[in-house]
Amino acid sequence: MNITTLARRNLKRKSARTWLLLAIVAVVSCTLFSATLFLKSINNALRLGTYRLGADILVVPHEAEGVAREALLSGHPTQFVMDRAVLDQVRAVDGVKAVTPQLFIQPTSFTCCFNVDVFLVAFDPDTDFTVRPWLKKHLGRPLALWEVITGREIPVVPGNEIPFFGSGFRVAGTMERTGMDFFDRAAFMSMESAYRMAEASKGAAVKPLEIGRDKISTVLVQINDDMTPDRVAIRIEHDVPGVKAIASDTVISTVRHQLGGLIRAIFVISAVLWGIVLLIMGFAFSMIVNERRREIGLLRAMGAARGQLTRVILTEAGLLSTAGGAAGVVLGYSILLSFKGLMLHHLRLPYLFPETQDLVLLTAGALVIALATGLLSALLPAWSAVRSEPYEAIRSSE
Amino acid sequence: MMKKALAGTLGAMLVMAVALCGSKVAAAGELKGTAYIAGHGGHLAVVDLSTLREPTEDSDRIVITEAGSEMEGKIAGMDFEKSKAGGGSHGSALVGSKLVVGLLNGKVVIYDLESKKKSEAMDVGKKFCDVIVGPDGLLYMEDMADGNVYVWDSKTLKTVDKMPVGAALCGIAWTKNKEKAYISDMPLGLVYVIDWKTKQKIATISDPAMTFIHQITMAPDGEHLWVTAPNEYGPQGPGKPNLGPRNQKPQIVVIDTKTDKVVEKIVLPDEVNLHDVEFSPDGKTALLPARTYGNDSILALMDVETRKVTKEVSLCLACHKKEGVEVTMDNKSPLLCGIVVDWKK
Repeated sequence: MNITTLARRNLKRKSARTWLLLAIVAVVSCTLFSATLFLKSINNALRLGTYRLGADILVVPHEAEGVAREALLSGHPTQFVMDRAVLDQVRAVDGVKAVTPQLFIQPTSFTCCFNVDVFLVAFDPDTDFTVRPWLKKHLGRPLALWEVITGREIPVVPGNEIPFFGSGFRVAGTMERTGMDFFDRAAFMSMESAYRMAEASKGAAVKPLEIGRDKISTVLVQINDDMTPDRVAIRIEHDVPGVKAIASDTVISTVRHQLGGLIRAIFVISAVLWGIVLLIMGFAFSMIVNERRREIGLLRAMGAARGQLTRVILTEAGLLSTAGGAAGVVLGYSILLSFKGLMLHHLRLPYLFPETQDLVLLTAGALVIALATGLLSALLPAWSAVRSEPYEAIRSSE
Repeated sequence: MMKKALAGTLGAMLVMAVALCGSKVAAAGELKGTAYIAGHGGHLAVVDLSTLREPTEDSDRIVITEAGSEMEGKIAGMDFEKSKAGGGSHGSALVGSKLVVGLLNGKVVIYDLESKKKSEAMDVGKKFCDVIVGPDGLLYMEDMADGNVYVWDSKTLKTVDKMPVGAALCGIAWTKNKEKAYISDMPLGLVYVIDWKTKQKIATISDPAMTFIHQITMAPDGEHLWVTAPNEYGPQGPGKPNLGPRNQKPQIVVIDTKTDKVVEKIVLPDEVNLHDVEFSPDGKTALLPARTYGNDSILALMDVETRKVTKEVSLCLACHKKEGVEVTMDNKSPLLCGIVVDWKK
């Protein structure tokens, strides 16, 4: 019989206590794991989303700052316009490397047959740096007139036709999930398609789209390498009247700032819980060791080495805490999957599960912490148990 | 007979000496103008330079905001105790008949000296030390929290630019030919030299006499920079900001802008922890708003030629006593900062 088998049998002997301790470790592991995974997923989506946007700064009409930020974060469809002349004005600002316009259009809800609010985003194929890299990689050709690229949340497949404002659009491709509804619930079309759709809507749509060719919604800006987005944003706001320049990294930092309190609270709660678990398990193992003093004494009298007995107790603690940790990870993952929608609905934040590699690391981290907790809590009782002389240990429990 | 003659001569010499010393003080009394000195209490002390009467009346102060401590929140990435978020004034510039006041919460308020009305606080930076009118008419505001110089247009009320320079900036000054600008970094005790054409940092001036520095002013000759080095804090070790125990007296460090070398150190009395310098139009007198770190802040007048402080005017005590103001922040010491003077011609 090896040490692991002996430890497993010992745990089975007091199954109620074993399950209780396992549940305690599972609860703490679940809290730590799910909170970390949740925050990491939000961060992941923000990172990927802003990378996909490809812009350092978004220039919008001054009065549209709030809805623009909201659209970027929650993907809520919106519509606002400004003069196309802003594009050249922004291009002339010192520190600006490249500019491209976009047009945001909010179609009627539940267009056609899918129960999703679609956000229409029109881009300039000649200067775009949001959709064009994707097109180059996945479609291998520019987007044609009356074609759209859709986000992953829109239930369509390439080749489908979907109507907007009375005009039919062919789905040329669907983008991979980003976790940001701005992309996942969007349909990207060329500026020319959008303007033609607006012109055609006067005779084809119930509610015509009133957008002239001299209008755009936003100017996306890439900046020179020796500049910072907030500095160029200041210059844009000074040089171009009536606009607000939103540095994309401030969108991320704003969200992080909003989540700061939550992160701190989770950290404090986790630390307190971990401390409590350490004490409970330490106390439990002290009891376990006290109960088995006679048994330990007999084993020592039969020639068992101190190290072997210490390993038995520590293996019990390790098995218990690792199993608890694993249960906590599974539980945390299940809770996140079940309530993710509800939480995000209230928080209105982007969300994307991390890559498999990160998930593995996160899971391993949770298990290591659980194992360390178990070993740490059993270390002192184990040491005190094997320290006593065999005869003394046998007599102490009589 | 000899004794009498000697006594007479000595007496005459003594009278002459007293008269001479008196003339130095009287020279300060010949100043014509109104000084506005910004304070952490959120108001500016107003001093008539022709009388040098200490402020006591309502008309002797301009209330801008509620109080705000200097050592609160984040300065150059370092966390300080949070006491208030109200602001407190710290530096101001005169633009026509308007005072543009920079606050400790990074906002800017414009006070009209004629109508006695103030604007709403406008968001500009994070934590301002000084506001200076630049050679282009724009306002240059040095930020102690993020180390940027914010460039602000008082006509359009818009930020024009922000220049990343150092850690916790406090003052800016230009050479007469406008080729170079100098910017002080408070807790690092450094003065950065900026090529004003390219806006690039071309040198950094350090000196053991500058451990904790504040605002800076170019002397009337346009070639010598006066750096206020009250040195409230001392070195903490290599690579760390100078926030260790104080290790030297307050002083003015003079830099020759031709060589960018320290050429003089004017050691000041212990109670003259100066924060700014303003020269009279004739260049004979230097006005030094200073902190005593006791129950008052003062305006010290220095004879530029002799480098001696000739007079000290209390700026806070009488007014606070009269109004029943109890200072609770900044170790219960009323702190004044930047000075701007409306010189009457």
